[in-house]
Amino acid sequence: MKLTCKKDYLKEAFSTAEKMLGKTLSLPILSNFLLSTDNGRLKISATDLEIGLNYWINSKIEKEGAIAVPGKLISSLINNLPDKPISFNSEKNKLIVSCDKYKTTLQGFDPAEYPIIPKVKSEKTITFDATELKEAISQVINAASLSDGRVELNGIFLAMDKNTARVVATDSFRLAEKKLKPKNVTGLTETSFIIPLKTANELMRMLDVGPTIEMHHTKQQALFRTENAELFSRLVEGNFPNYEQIIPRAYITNTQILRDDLFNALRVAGIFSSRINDVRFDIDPSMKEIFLTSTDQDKGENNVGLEARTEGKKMTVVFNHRYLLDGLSNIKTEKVILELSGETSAALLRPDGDGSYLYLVMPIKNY
Amino acid sequence: MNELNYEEVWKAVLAEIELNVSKANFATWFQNTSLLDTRDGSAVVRVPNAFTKEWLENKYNKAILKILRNLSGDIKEVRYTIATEAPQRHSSTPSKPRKRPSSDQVVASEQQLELGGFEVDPETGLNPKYTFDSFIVGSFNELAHAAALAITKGLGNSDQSYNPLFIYGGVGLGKTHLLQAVGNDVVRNLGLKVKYVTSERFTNELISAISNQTTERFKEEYRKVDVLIIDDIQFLAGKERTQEEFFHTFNALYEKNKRIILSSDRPPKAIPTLEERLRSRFEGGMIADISEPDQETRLTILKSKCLSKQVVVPEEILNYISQTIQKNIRELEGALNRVIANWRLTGSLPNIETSKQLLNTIVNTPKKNLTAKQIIKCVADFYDVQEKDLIRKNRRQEVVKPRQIAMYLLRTELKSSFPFIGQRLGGRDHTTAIHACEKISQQIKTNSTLSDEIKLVVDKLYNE
Repeated sequence: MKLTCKKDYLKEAFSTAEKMLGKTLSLPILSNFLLSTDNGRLKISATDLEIGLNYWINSKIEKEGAIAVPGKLISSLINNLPDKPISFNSEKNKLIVSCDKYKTTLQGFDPAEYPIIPKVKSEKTITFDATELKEAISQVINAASLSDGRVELNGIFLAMDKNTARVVATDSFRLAEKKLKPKNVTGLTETSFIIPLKTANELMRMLDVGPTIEMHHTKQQALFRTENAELFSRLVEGNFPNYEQIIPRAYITNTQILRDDLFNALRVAGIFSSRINDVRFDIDPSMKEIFLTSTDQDKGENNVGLEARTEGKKMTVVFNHRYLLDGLSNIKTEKVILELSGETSAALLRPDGDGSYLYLVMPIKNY
Repeated sequence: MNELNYEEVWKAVLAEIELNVSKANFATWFQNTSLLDTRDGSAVVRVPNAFTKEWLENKYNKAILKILRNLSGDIKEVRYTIATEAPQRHSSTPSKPRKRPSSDQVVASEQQLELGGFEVDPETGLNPKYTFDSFIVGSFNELAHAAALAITKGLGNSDQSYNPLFIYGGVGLGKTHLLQAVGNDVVRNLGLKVKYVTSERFTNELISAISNQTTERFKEEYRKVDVLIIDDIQFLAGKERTQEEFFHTFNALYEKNKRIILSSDRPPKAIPTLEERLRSRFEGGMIADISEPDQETRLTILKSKCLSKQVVVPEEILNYISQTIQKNIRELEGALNRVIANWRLTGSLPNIETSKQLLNTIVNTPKKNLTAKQIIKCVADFYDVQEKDLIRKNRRQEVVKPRQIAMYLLRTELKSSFPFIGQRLGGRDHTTAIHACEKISQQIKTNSTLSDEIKLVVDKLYNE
């Protein structure tokens, strides 16, 4: 293999692929990238045997070939080389990297030892705008469960029906849902699957490049393809909870607050909340403010009044401030609406004037 | 080859391959693989993921085929299929012990509430927490329990005598628990297809099926199950289109010897505006009621709750709770939770005095302010007679009974004096009122129809 390409391209490809490298080193080859020539481009592959990435970059190829090289090593090497064209030259299991006045020889491995990243054979395709999908995933991913107790919550649920896609995540205490329109759908009318959390994170990184992303999937696996990259992943087995029926259709109290006000107030209240992160909301429609209170026996007490427009009944509810902050950080509108249905019922947080997003959160029981 | 042989053959294959590959390679690519089938000259090998599939197909196919051929000559090709474990009959395995989110995430405290309905299996609608093991049997529910058990035992044979099973009883007495326990048991032990819905959900699904023009799929969905469980069937009252659809579903399942289990807060004959053809079908199987638990059973229930929550609450307090809360198991549990929560919050062991104070709010929740007028109107409405007939001098049979019931309720619910009762119902003598109250309280003990009717009137009084 002999080729030359731009440093920027390599740097970007390696930094995307680096996150993929397997941490459990039962198979040492998994800490490597596979570099190979593919139809006039350089292909960089990385896998941890759960997900696999192929990333193509333009390069001037003089001789076809392939080699596996340690990922971390080559990535930090490229990062620190000057901004000049870089050339690769493989000789048996060694890779010679030349750039400006630097010449490096890396000990590599036999490319035939490298795992093969599977293909997904499916006629069904869903195409999204890359930026929109990235935004959608980033708006729900912090609600996903990090514990592996329930695998089906340990990922991002993607459901398609008619012309709408829903991206959902929950850890059973809160739930975030974002609706978006796919650009194109072929070969299917409705479908749903759960993408593992790690895949979702990787996918977001890959979506920076855009402009569109194509999804192919079968029951067990999926392939995500952009212009210059391909991500293969298994899908989570199991059924996502039937969450739609728990979204409250009506509310008892509804209050409108400036997003930044609430965000800051919660951060301050959080400092004084007790071990269980509780912040009490006193909401009274006859007042022009709502009051947040947090108390800890050792630290003290914090009170704040926030300008708000409230309708409905007077209510006192206790929330985990971190759950609310997670929800608010996904909302960028000037105002947010908080809909309450009782002190032990799910509350809805939504952006004002944007029906495509909702964040559902359960209160803390206040004895 | 039978299953055991497959296992042995595959062991032999692995043993041979192990000699020629590195330990890491062997562990990565051959762990969790097995031989599933060798029919028609093609061997099917199960692999845990797509990476392993690609790898074995591309790198080890020849070697595997060769070894398999040596062991059993007629194999011509090897195919690989992805499955996480040996395929079994679909069953929703009891969920793994729940772990709380790890500490680097937000610490979820005991008090943090969870979104409802997440335990529920979206396919069957069953919540795995309801089992027969956690169902406490007493004289008040043993008939229903026995009938439910009989269904799980008798499924599969064509004994249709308990079909449909109709269970009725008041709120919070365990109807849903029993229904779901049957479903879970059947799924787990027999692997049959079960569907549990509330009648409300059934109605909603039907409505959306009609508006989306997918009624065929809706029908299909309900007619392919082995056991259909519908909770709170009384809510079908007055919904004609739903009743009709349910009637057809019922017949389709019944003809195929499939089981139907229903629950309601009252017997079929007491569900108003239920079509006659449905009523007669409900009554055609087995009807079992769940009444209120006696004090000993209530105590047993509390103790078993304590056990499952792993707390020790003084016997004295449990006794107090079981004596004060008599009619509803859900409230019983709520009261216990309150005591435990207070204990956790204050850190001091609960004693009988603090418990009494704590439960004061539950026990003495003021009953809705009822007036004599409301009671008379409600009774008149229920028996479809004119209010003025109850008051007038009129001894027709269809008026006398409601009048006596109204007197009885004025006495029991409002604690009105007998002279007042007599006065209120058309200036009758107080002895008439005494007679009526005595007569009704006597009859309630022997006549279950009457006691059901009175329960319904009382429910109506407090719920409207």
